[in-house]
Amino acid sequence: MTTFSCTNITRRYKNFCLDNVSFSMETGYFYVLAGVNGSGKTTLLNCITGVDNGFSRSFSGDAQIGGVSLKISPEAYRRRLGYISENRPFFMEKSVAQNGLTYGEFYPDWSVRDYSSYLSRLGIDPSKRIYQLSKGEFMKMQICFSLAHHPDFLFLDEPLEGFDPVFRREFLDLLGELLDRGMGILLSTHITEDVDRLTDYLLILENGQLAADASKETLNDRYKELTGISSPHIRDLLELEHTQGTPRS
Amino acid sequence: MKTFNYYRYEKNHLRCTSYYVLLAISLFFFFLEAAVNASAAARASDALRIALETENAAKEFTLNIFRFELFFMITISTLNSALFYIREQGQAVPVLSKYLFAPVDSKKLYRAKALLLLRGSCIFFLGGLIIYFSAAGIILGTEAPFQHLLQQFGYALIFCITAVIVLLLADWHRSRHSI
Repeated sequence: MTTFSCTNITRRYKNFCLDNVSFSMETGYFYVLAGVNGSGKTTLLNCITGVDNGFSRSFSGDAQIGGVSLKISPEAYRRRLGYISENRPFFMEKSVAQNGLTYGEFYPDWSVRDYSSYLSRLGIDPSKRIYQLSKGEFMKMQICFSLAHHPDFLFLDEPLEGFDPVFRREFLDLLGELLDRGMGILLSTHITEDVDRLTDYLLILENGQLAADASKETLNDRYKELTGISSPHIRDLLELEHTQGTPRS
Repeated sequence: MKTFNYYRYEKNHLRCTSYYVLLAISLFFFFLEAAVNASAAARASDALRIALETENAAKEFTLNIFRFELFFMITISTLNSALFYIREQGQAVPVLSKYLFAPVDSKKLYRAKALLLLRGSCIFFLGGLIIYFSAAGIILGTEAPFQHLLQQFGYALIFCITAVIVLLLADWHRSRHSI
C-alpha cells in the first residue's frame, strides 16, 4: 500500500488563497474532493500534482507519494501520479498515438500496448489529431495515457463534465476496476451524484480551506446527529458543510 | 533510477530541416564569396605586383560582416523557432508549456534546448570561419591577411553571442509567461 500525503499546501493569488491544506490518502480508496465553484479544487490539484510550483514564490508546502517528495524530487514524484484535467496541454496538431509516444518517454513504466488497448476499449481513434477530439474524447484519451504509465494515484479534475450519461457509467466502472487493482483515486467535482456509489472518503473545500476530511460514514453520522436523518448522498453532506461552515474534522 | 537525459531527448526530437538547408546555403554562399573575393584579390595582387612591383593587393580580402550576420540571424532564428516554439492553429506556442503536466524539469529542458541552439550557432560560425580561412589560405597562400580576417571574425563573434543571448532571454521570458 502506498501513501500520499500533503502538508500545509498554501498558494496565494491576488483575490484567493489556498490556505494550509493538509491531508493524506492511501492506494485502493476513492477520495472525492468536493466544493462549490471557486472553492480552490483545481488550485489544490495543480499544487499537489506539481503543475503549479515551478516558478511561483507564492507557493509553499510539500507533498509526498510513498516517501518521494514533490519538493526534493519533483520528477520522480510526478512519475508516480496521473493527472487528468481539461487544461492539460497536449500537442494539438499531433495524433493521439504520437502524443502518447512523445510523453510516454518521460515515464519508465509507460506501456504502448496498454495505451492502445485502453484507446480501443474507450473507442478513441489513435490516428485522430488532438484538436479533432471532442471534450469527452479528450478526457478519455487522457485517461488512457494516465493508465498506460501505471501511476499509484490518479487525480481527476472535474472529469465527468464532458461525458454523456452512458459513458459516465462506463467511466465509473473503469474507476472501480482501478480501485480493485490498488490505485488511489482523488476526483474533484461539484456534481457529486455520479460518485456516491464509489466514494470512500470525502474532502470538502470551502474558500480555500479544507472544511472536512473524513470517511463518508463519519460525515454521514455527523449529518444524522445534526438532522436526525441519514443521507446516502454526498450532495447533502456538502450542503451541510457549506451552510454550517464547520471546522475541519 | 537512471536520470533522464534531456539533451538526448531534445536532439532526437529536433526536426529542423529548414535550419540544415539554410546552413548549407549560407556556407555554400560563403564559400563562393570567399573564393571569388580571394581570386579577385590574388589577380589584383598579381596585376599590381607587375605594375608597381612592391604592392600587395591580397590585403583587400575581407569578410562582409553585415552579410555574415544577416545569414546567421536568419539561420539561427529558424533553429530557435524549431526548438522553442510550435505552430498550432496558426499560432506560435512556447513548446515548454506543453510539458507542464509531464514529469519534466522545465529548467533542464530549457537548458538542453539552449545547448542545442548554441551547438547550431557554433556550427554556423565555425563553418563560416573555416571556409573563409581555407579560401584565403588556399588561394592567397602566405599573403593572406589572416590577422585582419581574424579580427573581423572577432567582431562577428561578439554579434553572434549577443544575438544568441537575446534570443535565449526572449525564449525564457515567453516560456515563463506561458507556464
